[in-house]
Amino acid sequence: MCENPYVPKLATIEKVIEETWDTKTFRAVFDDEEYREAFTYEPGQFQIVSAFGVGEATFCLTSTPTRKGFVEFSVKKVASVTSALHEMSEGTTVGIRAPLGNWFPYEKMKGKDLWFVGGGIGMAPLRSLLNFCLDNRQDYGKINIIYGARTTGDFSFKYEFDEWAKSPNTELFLTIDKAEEGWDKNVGFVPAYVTDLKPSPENAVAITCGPPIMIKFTLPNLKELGFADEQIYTTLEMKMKCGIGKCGRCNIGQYYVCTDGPVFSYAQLKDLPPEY
Amino acid sequence: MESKVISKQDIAPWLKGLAEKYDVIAPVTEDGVTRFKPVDDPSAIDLGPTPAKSGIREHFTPETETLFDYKLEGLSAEVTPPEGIKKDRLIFGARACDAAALRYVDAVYSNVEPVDTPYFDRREHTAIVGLFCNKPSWTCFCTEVGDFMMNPINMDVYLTDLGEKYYAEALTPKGEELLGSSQFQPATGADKQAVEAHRESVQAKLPKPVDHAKASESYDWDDPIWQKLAEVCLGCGACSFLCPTCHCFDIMECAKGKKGSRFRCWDTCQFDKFTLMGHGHNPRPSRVERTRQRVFHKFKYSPERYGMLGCVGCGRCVAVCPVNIDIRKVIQEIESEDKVSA
Repeated sequence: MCENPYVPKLATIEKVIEETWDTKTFRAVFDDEEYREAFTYEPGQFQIVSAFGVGEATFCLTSTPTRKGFVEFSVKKVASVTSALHEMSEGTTVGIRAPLGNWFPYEKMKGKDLWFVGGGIGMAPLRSLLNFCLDNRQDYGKINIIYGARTTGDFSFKYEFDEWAKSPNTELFLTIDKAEEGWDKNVGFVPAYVTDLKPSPENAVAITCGPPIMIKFTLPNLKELGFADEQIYTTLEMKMKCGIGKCGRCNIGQYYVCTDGPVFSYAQLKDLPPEY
Repeated sequence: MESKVISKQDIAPWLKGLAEKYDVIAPVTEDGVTRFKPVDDPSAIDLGPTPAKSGIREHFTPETETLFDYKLEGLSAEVTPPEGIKKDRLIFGARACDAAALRYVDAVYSNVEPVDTPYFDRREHTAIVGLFCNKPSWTCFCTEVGDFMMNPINMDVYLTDLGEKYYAEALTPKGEELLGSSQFQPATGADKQAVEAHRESVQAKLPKPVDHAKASESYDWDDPIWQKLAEVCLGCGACSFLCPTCHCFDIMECAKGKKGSRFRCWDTCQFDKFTLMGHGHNPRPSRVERTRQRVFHKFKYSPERYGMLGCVGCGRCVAVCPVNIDIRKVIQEIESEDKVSA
């Protein structure tokens, strides 16, 4: 019998980063050295993490495959598994099933200007592709990062902002919902900020992820700026259990978000029944 | 492949002779309910005439199944997957619909890598002896959605009840081996003719084929029937749990202190929490979306994805529904040109 796909690989939490009041990023290292060495993935893929004794939950691989030896997942505390993970300290064993799902078509994006449009924890899957592109800087045109959060305290990955902003031919645009003392960057919602920044659709790709409401209003704004459906990518979220197209949970139309996604172009998204 | 006959009184000795190689699973009636269960005494087998209340699904996708056990010590953990099937099984008396349903589940569980290894372990270690339906139930409509009653699939042997004896066709090498037992005699030309005439007479009483896959291309997402169904459906999920093609499951944890197991168990798109996400968003929040999902998945999405319907016409969902929702009528209505009340 082949390997049982429901049995996770054991991994140890090496580092816990407090991102915001409700979000932590965990860096985990596979225990089996051979597996760790051979393990690779693509930006945009996801993983299912086991908190033994509580259960499993799905998280994107927020790390980039260009930086080897570990995987990272960002966890917003919302229910039982995420709470159990938040309790974990460095050195705790977790189970990981990865890599799962499809990925961002980074080959097709080569030579193009990239517009990353992220909101809140939606920056986590974008960060994988963003750092991947920065690690292959020569392959891409100008990299623009629009990142919005409710307050300054709600930004994740603040420790990478400097690195992003200082990368060659790269610009970071931050925005928060309401003005705060000492904040000299943009104030306002992401969709409006996108319109203000007027990204040119010429030889460009937009990659967006965030709360459903942000995506809903960002898409038409990008369209208005001239972006074609095929130039816009997003990564969908659906309730998942198996992650391998069997359990039926993330079924939309004839597709399964876990195997046909999570990454979809806006052109593909328009073909799906409106149930996501 | 060859065909033989076996006298009805020789079935029990034949099955007893197989017990060394196989665990025999067959329909047994307990407290008035007929289900497929492991049997030690073949005289307890109840072949009908009408099909058992539940099919053979639970012997391939068990209601609950341990995926692995774990043990915690300090911060570390250890996981142990269960052992596979140790002894082959023989399912006796499966109906053509139930065997055909496995083609669909096979497709779902192998359509993308990795395949569902615990399921295929069971498939590989199971022989199926099917039984032609002499007396289909009033809920049966297998002939409307496929021709597997006449041309069975996923069976090793197909039996037809001819009164005193069974006509037995081997459909696979495994089936030929099963018919190699001394209880079987070669079938005559007269037996073959009798079987063909008999099968055709039964088929004639059943519904005619309908190309639902083709018809589904024009299914209406906003058909008023979903609202009407939502008003009567209780969301109990009984239809899914007796459906031989329903394959959805949940993955859960059973924790006992420092030890426990991860298991999966049947789940259904008819339950409100099936698609409820951690942060509170639910893409199918009401029974309008959920009743549509069940019908669309079986009759529209499945032909699109797997090239086959997700329904074998066993009619179990019709028989079990506490509010008399009849999938035959639902399909008829959404496929009808001039809409009538469901």
